[in-house]
Formats: sequence, C-alpha cells, structure tokens
Amino acid sequence: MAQVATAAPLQGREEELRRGLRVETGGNGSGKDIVFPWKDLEQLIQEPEEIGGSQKISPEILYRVAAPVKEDIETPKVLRIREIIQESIDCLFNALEIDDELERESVMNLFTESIFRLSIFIKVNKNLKDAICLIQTAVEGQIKSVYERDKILALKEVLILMKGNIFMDEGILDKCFDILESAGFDINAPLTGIELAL
Amino acid sequence: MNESRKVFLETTIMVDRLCKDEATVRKIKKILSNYNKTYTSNYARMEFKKGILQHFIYLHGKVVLCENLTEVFETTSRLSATPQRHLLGSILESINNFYKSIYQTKPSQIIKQYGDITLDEYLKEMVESYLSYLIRNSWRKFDKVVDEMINPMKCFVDIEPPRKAGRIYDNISRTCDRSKYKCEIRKFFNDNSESFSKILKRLQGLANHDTETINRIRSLKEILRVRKRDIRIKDCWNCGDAIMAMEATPDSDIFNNNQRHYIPICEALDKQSVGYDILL
Repeated sequence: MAQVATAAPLQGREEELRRGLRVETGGNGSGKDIVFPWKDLEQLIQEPEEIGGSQKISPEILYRVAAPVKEDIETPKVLRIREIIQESIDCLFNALEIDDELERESVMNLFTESIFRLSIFIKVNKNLKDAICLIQTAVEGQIKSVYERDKILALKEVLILMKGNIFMDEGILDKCFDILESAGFDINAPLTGIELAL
Repeated sequence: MNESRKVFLETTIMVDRLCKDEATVRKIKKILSNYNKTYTSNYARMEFKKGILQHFIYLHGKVVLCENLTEVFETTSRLSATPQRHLLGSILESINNFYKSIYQTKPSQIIKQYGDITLDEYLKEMVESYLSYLIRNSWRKFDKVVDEMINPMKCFVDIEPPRKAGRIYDNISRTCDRSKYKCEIRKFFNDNSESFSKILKRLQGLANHDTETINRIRSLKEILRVRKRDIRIKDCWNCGDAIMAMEATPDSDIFNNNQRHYIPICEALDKQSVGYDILL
C-alpha cells in the first residue's frame, strides 16, 4: 500500500518535469518554486556521440544541468562568473601570442570589456568583490597605455586564481593585490592628485 | 652613487609610497635609487596608523553603514571644519569619481543587458572595496617597502594592524597611549638633549611660525625643561618631525614631503632634508 501511495506523486512530478513546468521544490526546504533550466528531460539523456566524442566538456556545462537543489540556487551565477573570467583569460592567451601591437591592443580592448562585465556579480562574495574592484582599477588605469607582456601575464595569473577561488579567502585576495602591484599596475590611481599628508 | 648612503623615509613619504598613484611612486623610487639602504621607524608607522589609516577606516565604516555615497558625503560634511574633514571629502570624491567614470563609460550597456545593479549600488560597493584594499594593503606593505624598520625609543612596540569586526574595520589601539608597554621617549630626549636644544633654537629663530611650529616649540621647551617627568603624549606628537629627524642616523638623508618643516630641523642637526624637488 505504501508503495502505491508514494509512487503516484512521483510519477506526477516526473510528468511535470517532462513538460518543463514549474514544480514545487518539496523536500529542498526553500519553500519556493524553482524553474529548471531544461525544457524537457530528454535533453538530459543524450547519447555520448551527440555530445561529441573528441570535444572537451567544460566543468561549467556539466554543473549547469545539475542545479535543482537549494544549495545550488546560486550556482548559475558562479558559473556565469567563471565563464566571463574564462573569456577574459582566453583574450589574454590570444594577446600573448600576437606580435602585432595594434592587433594585440585590440584584443586587450575586448578583454577590458569582458572584465567590466563582472560588475554585475559584485554582490556574490565580499572578497570576490574586492578582487573585481582591484582588477577593474588596474585595467581602468591602463586604458590610456599600451600593455606590456608582464602586465598581461599578471592579469592572467590573477584571473586564473579568481576562477579557481570564486569564494576566495583573504589570503588569495592579498595574492591578487601583490601580483598586480608587482606587475606595475597603478592600483592607487583613484587617489591621483590628492595630497594625503595632514 | 655614494656606497654608504642611507635614507630615512619619513611618514609623509611612507604615505605617498603606499597610497599614491604610480607617477608619484615612480618619483619616490627614482630618488631612492640614489641610496643603497632605505629605512623608516615605528614612530612613522604610529603616525601612519593614527593619521591617514584612521581616515580610511572612518570612511570605510561610513560607506558600509550608509545607504549610499550621498549619505556618506553628507555625514562627513557634518564633522568639524578641520583639514581632516577636507581631506576625507577629497579622498571620497576622488575615489567616487574614478568608479563613476568606469560605470558610465564601460559596463552600462552590459548592465542593462544582464544585471540589476544601479550606479549608486556599484559606486558604494566599489568605494567600500577600494577603501578596504587601501587599509589592508597599506598596512601589510608598510615594512616591506623599506629595507629596515628601526625603533630606538621602543615606540608602540605592540602596535597592531586594523582588524575586521564584522563588516567594519577596528583600528585597534589607534594611539600609543593604549599600548601595554611604556616607551623610552623620555630617555631618548635626555640622551639627545643637546641636539633637541639645537632644534629648538633653530625653530625659535625662524622669521615666521605656523601653528605646527608654534606647538612644536612649546612642546620642545616643556620636554627639555623638566627632564625627570614623563613626556605627555601630545608633546611627543607635536615633536614628531624633530623626533624622526633625530631617529635617522647621522649618515642618513631624511626623505620627506614636508620640506617646510624638515629643512630647519635638519639644518639644526647638520643632516640633509630631501624632498621631491631634488628631481627638478
């Protein structure tokens, strides 16, 4: 009898999922509805060859489809941050391979745009916000100059650190400060022109 | 380059080295390249802690607690009309303008597309983060930007870094009167009374005395008058420039951004006061 009682609602949920409808979270404790990121469960059951045997799958894609529990409600944001950071890192890798200055600087312009897109995530984590502030400060101070190789390498190093530590501690944050400073970025540009002596 | 040249970095230069823009830091490095040893003192760190660092900490706390930056501007404008209030306003305005320029010229389109963060929110968050960076980083780097730290009169030996109490920084034991250890400033003055007397005489001989010099003369007189009595903290602070000029060893130049006060003091001690004008 008990089996019958539990089986029926489960079948109902599965049916709703198949139709891509909003469903009650039930056991997840949030008391709110969650919209699942897929329309149809069939999307989740692809054959390996459809994914593409030779193509690598990024961790972001793997996690994106597995986010329906309460703890992971913030996950899409984190994934989006990682994606933007990865785009920025890709720009830097490209820039490092380009000999032509104008072409390299054009790629760095794309990188700059990419970095400022992180602005919308400043409320995710305090230390991440400080790191975003710092890297934006460094990049803004560089807009009217030409990037040297060391600076591009430093940005790459910092972004790799950030990507691997979205919920970073202060130790990682300090490391980010140090890398950018030692590469010669003008982190104190916001105080330019102020006489600080009392 | 003279092989034996040493330079003492006074508080104003330490502030510039740690908090000013790249162009200023480049100037400082260029001047320091003439020396083969750089050093500063715990007295300079004490002045840094009770001075500019306290300004950053005050502003950071207000930015955290206020709804937006307009409220912070209003709050600081209600402080007593002092140079400190003026400096707070300038710092806040400068940082605010820097990030406003970023928001207005860079990500606005993107924010429209993806986000829900307004200019006010962005500015508040960025200014808070930047002040937090200044507080943490300037303290952390204080003894790293010089070759050596000295403390001949055991000034504020238990000086502590600012710490976060929740969202707000606490500038623990802001001033040295909260130290658990008694300093040896009285002994330092007694051991060097002749040199301090020379400074007093030189300052008294100046044609014009600004408020700072008037206070310094008064405090020096008082300290040199009764040599067995503990030195009052205010007298010690009034003599800050003279104390740091004395701390520097005889073979050192004294690099400062306060030539008006350091030149006569260094003249009295037969030491060289070096400012940015050396580059001209």
